[in-house]
Amino acid sequence: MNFTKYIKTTSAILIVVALVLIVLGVTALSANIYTGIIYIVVGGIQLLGAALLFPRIANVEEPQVVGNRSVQANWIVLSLGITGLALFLAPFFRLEAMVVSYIAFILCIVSVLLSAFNIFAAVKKVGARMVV
Amino acid sequence: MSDEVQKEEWPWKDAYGDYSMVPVPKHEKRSFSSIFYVYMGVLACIAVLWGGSTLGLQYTVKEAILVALIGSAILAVIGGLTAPIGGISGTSTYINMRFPFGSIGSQLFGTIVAGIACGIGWFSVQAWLFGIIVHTLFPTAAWANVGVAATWGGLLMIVTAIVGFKGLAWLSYLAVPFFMLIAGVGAMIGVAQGGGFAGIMSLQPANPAPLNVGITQVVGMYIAGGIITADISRYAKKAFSGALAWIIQIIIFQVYMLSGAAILMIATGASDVAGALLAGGAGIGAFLMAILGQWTTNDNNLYNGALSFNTWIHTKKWHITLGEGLIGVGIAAWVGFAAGASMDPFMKFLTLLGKILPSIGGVLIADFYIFRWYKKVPFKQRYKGLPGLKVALVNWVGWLSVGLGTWIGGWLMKWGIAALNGLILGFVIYSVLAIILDAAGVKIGVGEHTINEKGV
Repeated sequence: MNFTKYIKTTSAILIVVALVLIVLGVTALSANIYTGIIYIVVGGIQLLGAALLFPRIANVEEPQVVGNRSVQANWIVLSLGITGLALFLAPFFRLEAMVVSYIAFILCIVSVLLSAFNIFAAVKKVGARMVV
Repeated sequence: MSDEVQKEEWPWKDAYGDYSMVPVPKHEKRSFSSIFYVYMGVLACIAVLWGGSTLGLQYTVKEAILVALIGSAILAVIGGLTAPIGGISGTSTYINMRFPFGSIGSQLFGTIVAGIACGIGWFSVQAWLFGIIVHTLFPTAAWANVGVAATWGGLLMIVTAIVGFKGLAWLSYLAVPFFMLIAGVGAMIGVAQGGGFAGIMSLQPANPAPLNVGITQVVGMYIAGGIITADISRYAKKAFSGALAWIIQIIIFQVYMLSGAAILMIATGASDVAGALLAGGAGIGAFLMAILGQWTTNDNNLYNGALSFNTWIHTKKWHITLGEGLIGVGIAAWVGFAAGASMDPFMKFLTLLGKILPSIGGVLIADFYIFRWYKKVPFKQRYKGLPGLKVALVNWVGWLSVGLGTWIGGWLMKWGIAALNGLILGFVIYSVLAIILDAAGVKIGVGEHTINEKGV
């Protein structure tokens, strides 16, 4: 699989992960409004970061340029994922149905691992810069 | 726009690393977002949250937001003027200072305000504060002993500063979104504990103060950062990207962070932000805030300090970063291990050194925007040169303006905002004196120094 196709596929997965997080946030609003807000904010920013990558690489043929732009997008997803890991199980954001908190936490683990690997792949495979 | 790397003709030699003495070449310039993130990394520190909690002690929510807005607007103007200097010249504040102060002046003033004050002084104070915060959060853990935490925290901070601009950027990419959200979490906890928005808005401050007191606090808290913006904006691809990045982060995000901390303070009454977050249920988020907040700010202290020392200690910049970092960690650990020790006298000394900085900023702005305009130097050619460029050893008008501005603004004037007074006085005195003396044919520069290809 070439790099552009790889990054489009993984970004699509990240978009799905972010969307699920947003849905969880909407459902959590009635139980704990602050938990709902934080899920929606984290998921929303991740969604924007991953989704905006598609138009940014749509007509780009140079792999290194695709890599640089994917690095930017994945830094956003990664940092928000780490934020989620730090906050989602905190007492202030706990829900009575802890399964929702755990699902949100696992979604963050997925986004952190995938985005970190995407940055690594962009640097290794196409020589992208980690600081763009 | 292509991100493709194109190496251009570049007559300089980066002998000391991280372009500390020479202009950043075009192929190493970074995007607006990178510059923005690094600035945000400096802003994202516990000191800003403490600043916000101080506002919460003195004002209602509405007043605190107003004070934060006015103070931040003043800082936006200052940084908005200094950042393009780095964007155009491509060099750090201390190299730019060769023009208004001469080469000896840039070494002397740079070393005082950035090298000693930031690189060693404030670095050690913040490493020590880091130890205190970690100890407050985990009072029984051995690794959280003030001295132990100050040591490992300080060493972490040295690592990213040694990597240079890229190190600052990596850390900022990771830390900034987190820090922004944790400020929001602080506000959420405040609102939850204060009985909702209506309850928070009706709360009265514990120690009411006039608005100008808070504005002074906000400006004084970050004016040093506003003056040395060129250290980061020199990496910007476009001349005005740094200014734009600075203005956005100050006007939007500083106000947001100050307000978040103020709301937390108003609702909980706790002046210790990390402790209030932990007590409010932020969990590991409070701990990460302590680590990342101090880390992203303190590596910048070291970074700026090393840039200034490099103007007269001609060795690899990372050697200097390591050296000043180890001295700072040593001081922080020593104070941390000495039970009951206080850094108050040391902090007073550093604050004293910091009093000189606003006037330096005023003179730098005056020289770049007013004196060079008077000398009819095209805007985009100012502070630019090639190896072989000649600068004065001492620009005595710059020295005199800083002396007068600091003395009058910092000590004689008993009204207004002290830091802003110094900056405006430095600006006015230098503009008037330099133009009048130049028109009268009096040389404002003494001696001559030729810049070689290493930027020395």
